[in-house]
Amino acid sequence: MKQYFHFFRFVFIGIAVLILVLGAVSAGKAAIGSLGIGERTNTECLTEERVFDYADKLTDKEEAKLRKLIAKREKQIGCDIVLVTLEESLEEYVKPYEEQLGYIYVDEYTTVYADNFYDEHKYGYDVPYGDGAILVDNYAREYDGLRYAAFSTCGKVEYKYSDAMIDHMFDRIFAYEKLGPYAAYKTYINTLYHDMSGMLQFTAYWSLPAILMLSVVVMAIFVLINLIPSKGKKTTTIKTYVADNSMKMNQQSDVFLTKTVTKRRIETSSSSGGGGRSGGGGHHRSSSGRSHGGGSRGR
Amino acid sequence: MIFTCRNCGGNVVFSPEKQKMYCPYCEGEDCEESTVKPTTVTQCSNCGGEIQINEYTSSSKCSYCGQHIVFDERVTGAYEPQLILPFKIGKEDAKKLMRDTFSKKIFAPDSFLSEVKLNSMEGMYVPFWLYDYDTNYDYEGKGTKVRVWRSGNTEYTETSYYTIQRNMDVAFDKVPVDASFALNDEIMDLMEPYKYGELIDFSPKYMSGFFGEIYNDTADNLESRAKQKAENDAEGLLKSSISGYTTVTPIRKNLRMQKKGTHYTLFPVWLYMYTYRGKTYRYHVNGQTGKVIGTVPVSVAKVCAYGATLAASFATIGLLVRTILEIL
Repeated sequence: MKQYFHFFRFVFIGIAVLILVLGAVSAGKAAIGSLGIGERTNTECLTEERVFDYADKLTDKEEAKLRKLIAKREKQIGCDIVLVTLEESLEEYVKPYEEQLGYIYVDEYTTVYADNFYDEHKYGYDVPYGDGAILVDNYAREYDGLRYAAFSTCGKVEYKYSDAMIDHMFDRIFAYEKLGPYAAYKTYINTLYHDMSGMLQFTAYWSLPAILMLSVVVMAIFVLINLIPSKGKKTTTIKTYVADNSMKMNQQSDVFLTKTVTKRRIETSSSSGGGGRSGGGGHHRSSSGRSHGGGSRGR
Repeated sequence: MIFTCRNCGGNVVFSPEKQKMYCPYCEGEDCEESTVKPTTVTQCSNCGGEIQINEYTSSSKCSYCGQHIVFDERVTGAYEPQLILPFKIGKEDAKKLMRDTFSKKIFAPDSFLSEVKLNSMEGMYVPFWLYDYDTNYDYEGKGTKVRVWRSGNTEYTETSYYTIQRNMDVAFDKVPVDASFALNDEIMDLMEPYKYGELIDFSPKYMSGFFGEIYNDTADNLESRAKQKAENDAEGLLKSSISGYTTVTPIRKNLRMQKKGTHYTLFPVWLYMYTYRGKTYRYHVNGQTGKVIGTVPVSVAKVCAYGATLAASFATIGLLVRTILEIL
């Protein structure tokens, strides 16, 4: 038992320290409150819903977790946060708006949809069409073979987000998309929170099963390493039993005989890369004439 | 033969720490006198108790009176060793070496390094044959050196061929082979090397206080292992003189070995036997250099306890860190 506690002493101390840090962080956070952000004042918003999974890419549980996270983050940064997934071409959808907005390029389809969606529901934390952002992720491919996502901003989010920040938002969403839609949308919400609040940029994607699985792997490695049997090492060398000064090289010759040279042509291959197209970020007007920021990106 | 104290009559033993004969009863040093009594190899000459020995035992301890007895007829004549390496490491040091070596083996049963168990360690003089050889190694081989380079879109490979010739004389001094059937050859090889500079002429007094064996087989019968060791070393020495080649193919190898002598010698080894779940594990500590050889038993209960604790701790730390970072 003594050996057991001795062996795990630093681990137990580490856990105790983390528990203390957790307590301190929780208390500190509670004291600070929600960064001085007031209650939501937009009374005209047509819905309480924030997650519209039309493409059905999220499980009910994931949707519930995202709703909970959005509710928490909205209060922290004072912005509405909306998420929409689609799986339909928007080519026909945007045509009626071309008269008003001019020719709409394929990479702008989702942006038009996002702007309209935001305006139609009168989103905005402070006032209708006010502070907030919306992510529309379309799983259907347009005629150019790409599928687009649009990140549309409004109010203080529009003013905060530069083109570089919009690019960074897409970079992060697409990077975490490899882990699945849930991870990508969690990234969207947390990146928005981090960007708006200036808080530490960290989003944990360690689900409980992943942590448990990793724990089992660590345990297995630990056990296997400690189970490797070792009798002992050989500590004699080829010279251990050589009598002092007894080694004598009577002949030592290395005579060159001949040489051959062969040659081989090296095949070279050329490759070319490709990538998605990027719709420009920045400020624009929606079909209802309201100002939005953001942009879209295909992949 | 029993070594008794001139002062108090107690049983005098060889002390590795003091490197002297020592009486543990009156703490006298170099106070021994050998007492040759009409001893049989199965009966203690001190108390008459029966001594459990086998056909190779040359020194033992009476389990009744604790007297250390050296059997005269097994350390004289044909069985008289020429050389001996007296114990340099005492029992307490051997126990410490065991603890130092295995204390980090966390899956070992708790009792494995307990004082009670380690007290059962016994020192033993193991019989060895040491062989001297003169060798000549005549070698011829073919070597290649390959050089590859590129020029434009072409890769060139140049292969140069060489004839390698070596003729080497080397003498091997005291190549050891254990002469005890009871001890594992592989383990005894791992106990090496011993420092031969401390070899001295045999005297039975060094055996008082320790167990001992006579050689279990003759030098001729056991020589094949010594020859193999010397051949391997000669091969290694010759190969170390051949370098810089990409491939080496032997054409002729002629290794001549001439035995120059043999030495019947006793080497000191501490033995610790530990039984766990019906299996006996043996540990050996070189009585001169302190090298420890042996594998530890594994306690399934400890594997489960440590493994589960580690997994639970890791998961707890992961969850705590995640929670803290998300709150931030």
